[in-house]
Amino acid sequence: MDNKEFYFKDPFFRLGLASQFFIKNILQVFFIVLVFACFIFLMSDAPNLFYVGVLIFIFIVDFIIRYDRGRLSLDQIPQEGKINLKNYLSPKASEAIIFAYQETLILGGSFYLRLNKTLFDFQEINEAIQRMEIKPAEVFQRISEALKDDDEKNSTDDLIQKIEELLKVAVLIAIKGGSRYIMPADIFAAQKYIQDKKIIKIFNFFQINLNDLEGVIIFSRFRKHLKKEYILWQLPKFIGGFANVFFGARKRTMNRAWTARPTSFLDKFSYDLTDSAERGKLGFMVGHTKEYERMINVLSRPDKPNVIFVGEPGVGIKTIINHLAYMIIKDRISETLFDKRVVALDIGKLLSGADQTELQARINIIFKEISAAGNIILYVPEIHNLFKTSGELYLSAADLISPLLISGDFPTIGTTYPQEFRQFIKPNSSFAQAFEFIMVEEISEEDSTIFLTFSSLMLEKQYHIFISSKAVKAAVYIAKRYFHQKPLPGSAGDLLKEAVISAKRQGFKKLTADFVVETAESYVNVPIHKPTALEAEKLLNLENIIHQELINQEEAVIAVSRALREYRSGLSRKGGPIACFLFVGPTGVGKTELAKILTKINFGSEEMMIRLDMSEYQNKESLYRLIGSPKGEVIGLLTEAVLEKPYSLVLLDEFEKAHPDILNLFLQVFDDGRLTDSSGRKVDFQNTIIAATSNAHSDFIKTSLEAGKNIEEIKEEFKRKLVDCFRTELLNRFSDIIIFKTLSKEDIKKITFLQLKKICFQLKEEQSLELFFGDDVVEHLSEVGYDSVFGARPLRKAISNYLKAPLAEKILKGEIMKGDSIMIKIDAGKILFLKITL
Amino acid sequence: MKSAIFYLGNQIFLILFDFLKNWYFSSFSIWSRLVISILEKLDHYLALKITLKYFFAPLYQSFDLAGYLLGIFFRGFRVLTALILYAAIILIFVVGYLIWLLIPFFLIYKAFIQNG
Repeated sequence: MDNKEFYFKDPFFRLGLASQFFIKNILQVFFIVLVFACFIFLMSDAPNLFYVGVLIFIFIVDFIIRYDRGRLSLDQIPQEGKINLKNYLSPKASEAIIFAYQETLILGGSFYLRLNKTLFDFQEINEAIQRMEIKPAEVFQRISEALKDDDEKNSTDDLIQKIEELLKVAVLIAIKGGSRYIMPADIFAAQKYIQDKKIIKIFNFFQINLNDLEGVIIFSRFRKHLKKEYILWQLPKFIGGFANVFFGARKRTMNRAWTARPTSFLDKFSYDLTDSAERGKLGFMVGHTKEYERMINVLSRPDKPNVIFVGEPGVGIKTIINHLAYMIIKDRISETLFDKRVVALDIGKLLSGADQTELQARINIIFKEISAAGNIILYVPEIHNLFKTSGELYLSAADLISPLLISGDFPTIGTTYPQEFRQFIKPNSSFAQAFEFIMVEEISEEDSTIFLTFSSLMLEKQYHIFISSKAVKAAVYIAKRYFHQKPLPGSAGDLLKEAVISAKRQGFKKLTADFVVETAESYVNVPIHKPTALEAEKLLNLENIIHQELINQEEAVIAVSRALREYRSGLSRKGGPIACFLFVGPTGVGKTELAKILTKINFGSEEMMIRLDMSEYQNKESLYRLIGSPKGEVIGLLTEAVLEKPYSLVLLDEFEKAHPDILNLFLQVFDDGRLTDSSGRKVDFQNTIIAATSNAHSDFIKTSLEAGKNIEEIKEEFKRKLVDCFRTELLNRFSDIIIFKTLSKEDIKKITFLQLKKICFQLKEEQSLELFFGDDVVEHLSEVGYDSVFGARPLRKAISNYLKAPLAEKILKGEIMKGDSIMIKIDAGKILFLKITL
Repeated sequence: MKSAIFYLGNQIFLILFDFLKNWYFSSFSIWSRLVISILEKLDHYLALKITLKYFFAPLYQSFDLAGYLLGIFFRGFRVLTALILYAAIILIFVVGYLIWLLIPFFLIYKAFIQNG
């Protein structure tokens, strides 16, 4: 228990300004005189003066070496008692405080503002601010302006108290960051705890997150330290892995006690991770500490020291195993695993070029060598490959190797994926029982940020580009939110690397968060960046944009526009899909049309729509057609479609017709935005819009509207009626239940006009044909295309029968050629196509 | 003014005091850390501790008389080499440190006593 009491006492601050000035100058003169004296004495012929000169020389050298160090070091700080922080200040930090103190006494104003001005002269702080994508010069300017109007007065005692408060916090930051002295950057970071209003105001203006600042400063310090440690050729390709993997290398770092036998045959079909760890000098791990500890416990036990890691590709299983190799070469391992080699078996190499007999011989020799060596931890990547039935040799390998792995003669580590685990390993009980299974999930966002910050060090060195901390955070956030096909930190790492390469190619020297967002947007069809002024305009005007293609249904359009605006401003509920709508109303009134328009607006193209007719899923067994069968014979139409197009609109037509068990499936989808398919894969719906359509109780809508009620008035009663078809908990999970009205004849005319305009546009684009039509055509087609029961549905058929079909015939017969202008007219109920000259 | 002169005198005293403290006390931790670091790096190859631990284990898992005898022989040779090397390194550092300690005294002697 710490009983330290920090305080700050320096008599210098109690002296008058004139005395302080006098002392500073006298000390400087003292050293100058000393240097001259040293020089003169060393040149002197008198032996006694020469030796005095040498004495002065070593004194000066010692002084120069200690120049940037405090009197006392923080790693030797006493555990209890009163501690004067003055002794632990670095000379630069001390100078900064003295300067700010003197300036405040002379000129007045806020001490903290003046101190910040001084601290901005330090490169470490400048770099930290730049990493947060803020221009230090602008912050400096703002502070200067704030000081102009600042008439705060501070006495000596006030200032000393403020200094003491600041240093009490700064010392803790310095200790946490592994510093030996309190540096200017520690003082800068300490401001987060001081909560001075003037400083907070300036930092808020520039969105300087003080929580991030401490991390960035600690990291910048590590980066400088790392620069000294690294020789370029040792630069690893990626954190957690090694730059060079030597196949069959003779050099063996382990077996220092000569208790183990060499494994010359095994070396041909494997690679030694402990060797690679020795060369790569890295293999550190971020996160996964619980999984690592569990692995050590299992491998260290005398009975069944075998473990299989189960996790999706990219969660970091290899990192855990590489870290084991690293800890072994550093001798930071349990006694049972001390001086052991981690050897990865290459099954592909083992099988290549071997027939049955040869394979058997190889396996026998290898495993004899492993048993005889006594110091091998065998690592079998993708251990499920032993059980795959593709090819006879695989079968043989499984038969031969499995018993040897189960025997427990040596520790074994295997890796597999969740689907393969369920499919191949779990059913094989004798094999499965010999292993401890450790599930590995993706690491948290915070750990990913730390991991990626270290990765960014390597990328900076490799590509000579400055990477801001905001860029790193953006990569993690975007990967977590939008790239679910690969887990963290792999997905974020890929995105960051892509952004770095793209920025380098375009000649940028600095990678910012905006550039990372741009890079991500090139892969997805959804806008990730904050809405620009133009986009904001578009979002605010969304109803009009939708109405350019959809007639009537104002309430529906308002509801969906509202939901999209909430989503783009970041205010929508986190965790579920972008939005879940239930479109209810009679047939042919625009439910699917609105879904298509939403798809185009949000995802760029109508092709980004996944359409399922739920009337095909009326029995329980049809659930497997949606999520796939457990054994994998039937793939899930819904889950596969969303995996393929994670940014899409999912349209569930005739939703009420689906089997209740299938409806229950969507409870999880609407809530968490996730669905687990039959093979255990998690399918992410968080970047989808879900639109379910239903005709349930559309008679009620029709009669209520005809009776003169409006949508708002019937909405609540209608929702109660819907409980007949859907469970209340399902209805509650929809973002909105949107009621569609029946269409009037006037609406049909407008729809007809829109459809005809689309056809004109299509013909102009594809056939260079100009098509003109008058109101009579619109009137005629809307008459034949309208049905009070089927809404606008017959219109499409009418246009096809009366317009498109005859037009197509004429084009094929050559009666209408490319470049022609055609006027469509109605004559005695028949549609005529007349060529005109413009 | 008096307090300023007193402060100045105190600072000069501290500077000289810190020089002597660093030369005689801080240097000890620097020298000792250096020698320990060198010995640790060497031990990664000579493996004195591990060799002693497995001194009587058969060489390369040969559980016959030859394995045991050769193990003792080779490991013994290695232990002896390591001990001699480590002892030499420690001796060099001890001598070096003693010389280091004596340097100021030597200079003072030469400046003020021998050459008066």
